[in-house]
Amino acid sequence: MQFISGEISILKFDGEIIFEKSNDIKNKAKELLAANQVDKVIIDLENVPYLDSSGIGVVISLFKNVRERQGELVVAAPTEKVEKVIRLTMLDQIIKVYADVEEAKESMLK
Amino acid sequence: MDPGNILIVDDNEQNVELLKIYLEEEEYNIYVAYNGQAALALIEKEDIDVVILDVLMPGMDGFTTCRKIKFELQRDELPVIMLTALDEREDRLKGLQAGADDFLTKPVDLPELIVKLRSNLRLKRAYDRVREQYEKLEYQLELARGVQQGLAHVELPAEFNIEIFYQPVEKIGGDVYDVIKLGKEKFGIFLADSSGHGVPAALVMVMLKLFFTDIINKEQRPDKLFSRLNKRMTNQFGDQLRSIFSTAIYLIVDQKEKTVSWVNAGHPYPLLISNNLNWQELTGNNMPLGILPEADYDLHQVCYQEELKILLYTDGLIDYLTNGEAELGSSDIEGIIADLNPTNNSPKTNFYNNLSKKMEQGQQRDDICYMLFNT
Repeated sequence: MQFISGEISILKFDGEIIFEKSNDIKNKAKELLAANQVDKVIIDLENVPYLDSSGIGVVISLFKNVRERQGELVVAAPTEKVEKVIRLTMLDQIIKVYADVEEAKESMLK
Repeated sequence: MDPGNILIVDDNEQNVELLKIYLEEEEYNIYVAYNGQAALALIEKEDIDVVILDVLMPGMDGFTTCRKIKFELQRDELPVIMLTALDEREDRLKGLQAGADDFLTKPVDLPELIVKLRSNLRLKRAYDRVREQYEKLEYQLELARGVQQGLAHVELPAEFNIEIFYQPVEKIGGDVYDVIKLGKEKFGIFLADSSGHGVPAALVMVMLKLFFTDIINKEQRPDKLFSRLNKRMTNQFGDQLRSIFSTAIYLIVDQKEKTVSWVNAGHPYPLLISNNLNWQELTGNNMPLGILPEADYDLHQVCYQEELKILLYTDGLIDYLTNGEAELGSSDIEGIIADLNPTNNSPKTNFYNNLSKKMEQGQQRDDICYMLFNT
């Protein structure tokens, strides 16, 4: 997991997010977000080949967390497979999904 | 505390006697075996805590005995202290390969023996404590499973022509279903799946089922029912359970009016299968339960003419059949449909029987559930 802090922070996950790992990933991500007082964050899924429903749960949980602080969280660069899961679980109805990080940044700066 | 049961394995009676007297002085309980075979038998029978094992024995030597303890009896937690000749480096290497935990050179330095015995006993005790906790947990899971099964149990009236397959991946599952009689020819079918599995998912499922049962007594319209259910499932739980949400579907079959109506919260689309094996997915979908309190749910309806089969399933089935894809492809669906007829000598469909057989061979990653309903 990489974290780049900034006006818009980027949280980049590595590898599949599945049940066995999801709790660790969630806790680590939450720590990073809390420690850096992040209120605009892009979750970069470029290097995530797959995420299951608990992976979706991680994203939702982070989304709720950021929203509670009046912040904004979006998702960028899902692979085809991940994009499908996002669509099927209707995650795209509550969280904005962008094709890549640049596009996400642009729209968040507006 | 019990000082510990020590097994001495050595063919030399004099050596055994010396160790025995010394260790009994320290209040250990001593067991003795004069060869490897006898040692293995004692280990299986008695509650041994540490083995002191001589390398040089006629017949089965110390290395072989050690290997058998660790790998054949699968007692890799049982500490083995090997007695080797002075400075035999090779013996130590062979001993390590055989799985020995510690070494002493002969003639045995008795105070050193005591120190090593104590440290190995500590390890063994730590292992025993972990195992005890694990067994307690297993027992509690078993109880929890009983509760869940009691709750999951659905009384199916004889006129229901429904086949239900349910296979949790762990002792306790995250899928739940219900079948409700709403009128003389009207049934409600409910199927839900929470993200993740194990105890947290099962807890969420228990709540969901209780809420569902409660709300359906007050609100029969599926879309309104789901809105209320969703509100209750959102923000009900502490932080650890917050990332858990549930997909769910509630479908009503009215055999008199010949309609199927449903509401879907992020759940895989049910399949409608006609007698001539044509099929369609019942599309239309809203947000899973437990994410946003203000989510809305849409009611959908289709009419039918002839007899129908309706298949509801959880994503565990998709994952299993497609080996990790997010949705079923047409060929997967056609494969299922071809197997949905009852076999000659079984009340279940081929699909059910084949799936059950495959489950016995293992390798399942998520809870799997489906419900097949014949109008």
